[in-house]
Amino acid sequence: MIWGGQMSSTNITTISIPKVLADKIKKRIEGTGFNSVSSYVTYVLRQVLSKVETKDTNNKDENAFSEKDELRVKDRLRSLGYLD
Amino acid sequence: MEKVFVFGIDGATPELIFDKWIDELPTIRQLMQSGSYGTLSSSIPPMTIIAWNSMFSGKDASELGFFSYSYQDKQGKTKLVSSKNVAVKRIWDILSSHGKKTISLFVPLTYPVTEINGTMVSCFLTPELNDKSCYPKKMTLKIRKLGDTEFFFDVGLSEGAYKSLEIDEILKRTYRMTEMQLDLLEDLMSREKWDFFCSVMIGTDRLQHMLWRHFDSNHRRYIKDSPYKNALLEYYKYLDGRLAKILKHINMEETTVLVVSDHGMIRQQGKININNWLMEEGYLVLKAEYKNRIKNEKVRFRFEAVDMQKTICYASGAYHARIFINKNKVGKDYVRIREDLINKLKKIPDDKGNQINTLVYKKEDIYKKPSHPDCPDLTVYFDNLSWASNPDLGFSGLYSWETVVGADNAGHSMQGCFIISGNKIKNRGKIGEIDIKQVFPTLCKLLHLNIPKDKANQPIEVF
Repeated sequence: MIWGGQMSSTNITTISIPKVLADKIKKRIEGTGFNSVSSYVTYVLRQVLSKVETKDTNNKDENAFSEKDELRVKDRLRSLGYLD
Repeated sequence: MEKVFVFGIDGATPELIFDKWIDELPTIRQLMQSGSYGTLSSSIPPMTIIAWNSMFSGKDASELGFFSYSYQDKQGKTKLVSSKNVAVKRIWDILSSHGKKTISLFVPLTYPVTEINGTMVSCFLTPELNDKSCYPKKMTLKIRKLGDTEFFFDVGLSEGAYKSLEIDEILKRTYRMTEMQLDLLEDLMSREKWDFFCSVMIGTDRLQHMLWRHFDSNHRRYIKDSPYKNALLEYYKYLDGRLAKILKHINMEETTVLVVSDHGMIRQQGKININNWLMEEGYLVLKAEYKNRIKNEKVRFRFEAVDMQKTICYASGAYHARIFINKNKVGKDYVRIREDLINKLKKIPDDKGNQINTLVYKKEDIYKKPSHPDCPDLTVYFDNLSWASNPDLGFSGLYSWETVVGADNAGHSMQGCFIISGNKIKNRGKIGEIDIKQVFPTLCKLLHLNIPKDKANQPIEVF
């Protein structure tokens, strides 16, 4: 996945959005690191998709670690005296 | 274009960096002399994962959403914290939404990594090099080329007790880890585009815990003429030398450089067996099976050992103590009982009977979200943290030198280091103590992000 502003022409397509919206985005990105409306739209869509894809997993009770991995890090922390 | 580089040195201690060893660290000295520097008041508690995230978000532990390395999940199971526990946006999240690029290396509590506009490699809480430790994933290939990655994220062995490792082995691993991490840093710095680059070196923390008594003649267990008396200084010198090389990749005309630490270190006088004290005072009652068990063995403290039908409060926490009052048991007497407890805690003497300077914080005085379910009712620093708290069970009496997992000879202190230098920064020399949460709005100002309205945490006055 490539962030906005760095896409090669062979990997992009055109999507239509209302001109009013595009104008709003132009104003929004003034003075930011986004160098085009496309790069901003790409960023926003990726954020939305990422949230949708992780809707049920993006909370602290979802496993960040496998059981084995958690044990491994816990052991290491205990050996450092950090784990309460 | 404004750029910011943060070189984090975990546990770097003002007394060593600013005073004792300053003449041996020419790169750091040059940054101090050209910019502004001062001591940095760490987070409460001064724990690595809390402090660094406080620095990069401007939030306290209650807002961040965690108070230690572990938390209870919905099933009451003790689990290890991860980046998923971080309840707030950190600076790289905000920069990404502004289209600015970040490179974040080894910042504590970044595992699993999140997708940012830039590059992220996770921290010492990483089980092994895998797809969740690097964004983009292809970074794993680059890291594997650096060599054996067993100690890429940390020096401890999962199976072994770090504190019992031979010092030579610790040093060897720490240098190897640091060398690989800094090789990666230099490679990315010279090849990639970035607006914000932050990195945290963990090796200093690991070595300081172990080596303090080898160079500090005021330490109770000072080892005179130790062959390791210069080992920590040599490591700092190594970091300073590598920092000089790193800075050669930076255009100082457009970049502000910060050298910071999350907390300092303080020589340890010993440990106060806090749960022994709570039992003696009648606050804590263990379950029968644990009462029997600790007659014959030392046991790591765990919540499961507490008889909550009879207990008023119990403590956890390494270095500092976190005390949790059993609200179901104390009911309306909460305030009275807590005040009594504070008074008694402040009267605990050292092992020779001398009064010590113990600080006890109430949760509502230090946190914005004291109602967080994991929030301790009291946070205790014995003698400004020169006495550590040992929550483990089965120890004899009130004082010990070790916990169940072993001994160390320095603990975390409340003051870290802050150095800032660049074209936009005034040459103010030494400035007054700053709060760790002020680093975030300072970064926001440098990177043209909105500065939070919180009046208590405004940018440091160096512009």
